[in-house]
Amino acid sequence: MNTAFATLLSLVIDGVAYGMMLFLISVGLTITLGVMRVVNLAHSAFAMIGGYLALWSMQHAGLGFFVAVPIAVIGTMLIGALLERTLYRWVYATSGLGQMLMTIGLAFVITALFKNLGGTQLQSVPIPPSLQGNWNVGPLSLSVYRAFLVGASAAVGLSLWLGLERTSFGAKLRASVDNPRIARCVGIDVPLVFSVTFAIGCGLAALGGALGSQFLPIEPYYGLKYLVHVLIVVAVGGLGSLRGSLYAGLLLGVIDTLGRYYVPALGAFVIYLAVLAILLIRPHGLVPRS
Amino acid sequence: MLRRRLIMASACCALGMAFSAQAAEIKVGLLSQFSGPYAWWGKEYQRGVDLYLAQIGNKIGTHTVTVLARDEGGTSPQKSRQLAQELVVRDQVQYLLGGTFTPTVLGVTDVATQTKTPFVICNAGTSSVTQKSPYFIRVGFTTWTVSVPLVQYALSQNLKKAAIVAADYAPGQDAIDAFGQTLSKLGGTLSGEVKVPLGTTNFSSYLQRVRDLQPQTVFMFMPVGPMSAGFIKAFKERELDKAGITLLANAETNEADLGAIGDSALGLTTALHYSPHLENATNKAFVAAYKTKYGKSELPSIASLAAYDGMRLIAEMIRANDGVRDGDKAITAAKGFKWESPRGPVSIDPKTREIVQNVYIRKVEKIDGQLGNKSFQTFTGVKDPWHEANPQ
Repeated sequence: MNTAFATLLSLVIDGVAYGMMLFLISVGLTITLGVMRVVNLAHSAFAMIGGYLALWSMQHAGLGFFVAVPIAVIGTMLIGALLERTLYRWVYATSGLGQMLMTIGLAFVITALFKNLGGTQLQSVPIPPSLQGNWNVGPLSLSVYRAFLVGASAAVGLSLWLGLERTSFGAKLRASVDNPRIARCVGIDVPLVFSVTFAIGCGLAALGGALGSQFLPIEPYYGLKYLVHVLIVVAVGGLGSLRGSLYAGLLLGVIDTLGRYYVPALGAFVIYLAVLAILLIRPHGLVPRS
Repeated sequence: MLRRRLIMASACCALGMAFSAQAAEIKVGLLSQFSGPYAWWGKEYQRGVDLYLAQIGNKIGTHTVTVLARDEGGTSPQKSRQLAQELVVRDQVQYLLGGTFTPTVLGVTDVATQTKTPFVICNAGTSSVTQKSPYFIRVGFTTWTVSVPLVQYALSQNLKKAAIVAADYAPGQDAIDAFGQTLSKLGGTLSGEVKVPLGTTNFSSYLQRVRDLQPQTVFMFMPVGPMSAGFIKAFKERELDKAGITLLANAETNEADLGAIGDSALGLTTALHYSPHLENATNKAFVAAYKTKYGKSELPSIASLAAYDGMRLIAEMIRANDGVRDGDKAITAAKGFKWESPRGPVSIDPKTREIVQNVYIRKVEKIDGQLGNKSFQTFTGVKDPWHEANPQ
């Protein structure tokens, strides 16, 4: 194989893996923003909570990776559900600005809390030996962990799509969002549906935070630092579209990786130029809401 | 106008202090990051200061020492300048300590010069900093000081063909100059430079570039934190080490971050002026005192060490002045002052007001079950090479 082609191929593989991680950390926001129409700027803060919970259950309770991560997801879902019942409920009816102010404020509070609980140093969830190492195919090498990440993201995407489109809960959720009054009339417990959906969104954030910590290390400022990554994916994908977020994550991951290699002078800006171009051509994102 | 007021204020302080030389209360202003993303520095500085004060019982002779901490909360030079001014003029501190980044330190320049207040700088790696004011003294380290020994070490290991990977900001450029110029002076060859934008966490493109350059060794320079951790892990994950490339670094394997970097850091060689695992008696006592005060699993860092040594130097200046405010006399006392620091024997270079110190070549190993930097070679009494090449 020609080296230039091998380089391109390995960059594309990396781009896809990075894109799937972007999808994983932002898909929860796609659900809450798109389906429930809550601008949840604390989304990345929930990802950070997930990362810390996974880390602490491994460090202090001595649990393995494959037990700690689900525990972190469930723990974050509980915290999310609690906050939904107490705080978020008040801002559903307000304007987007009200939601933004409340949720960014919440992100600051969570940041301060974790700074005091966990210290300011970086943390990352240790990955088990079974996920370490590389598979080598000719001149290409594929990291086992990246492959695992791609698989996990694909599984999450598929089960969400099935859950929303093919289950009665998905139907109830869509009904509750589109017309809460009628939904209530036909016997749907709208507040409960919202709480559960919000908790699922938080759990997905936690999963992204815990699995992605190899690339985006956990620290108290995580929630504010990486918020822009999440917002870009959701905006480019089209608010609330699962398929859109998947396409956007993949596209931006590949563009970012290739751009940094082939146009190093522009470095980190290639992704923003790509976002600008995409939104100019398709102002409502790749897959706009019908 | 401001200048005149500052001079007036300092003159008044000097007079006031001159009449009350006995048993004065000496105030020291500590400038650092106590909130925001860099709050780690403030916490570590405070720990170094508190440890030193506890050891001397807050007393230098008959004088009581009080430290007033102020939060810079970010990298704004204006904010640092304003805080320094308030400390010196209103709170009447005689000495300033701390400073984290080159811009925040430079913000204090006018205040230090006009009020003749010695500023003992604990970090800020740009060499030219101490030329900006005759009242600046640095007890941290400069990028040049630790980069030159690293290049010398690489060449002694026959690693002659090198690439540089640095974060794309002013200190990164400083590191590129330090590595690049030293390398070409000592007969190595530079395969290329890779600049990584600040905030990058996806390193695959840059590592591919490094692989294409086919160097024997890579010198890295990145801000301590997510970028350093991410790069080291990615380097290992992509098996560049197995492709025969040796990664060399400076402060990036800070003990506080080694946990996040994990076993990918094992075997990584770095050059730095301090490690909490140094085998000398002063350091052992320092580490033990630190653990007693802050907890068994805690270790001092370059930041707590710099603040600790900074207080040691300030104590010497207070002693020399007998508590009286006199910036010039204090600086004269500091010049050439030697002491035994946990990092080894150190002194203040009278010409440049930079600390002269050992630089250690260290390797990341498992020490008592935890990752740490173990020193195996020493460059003794290193003076800042940039100052040697660019005299004032």
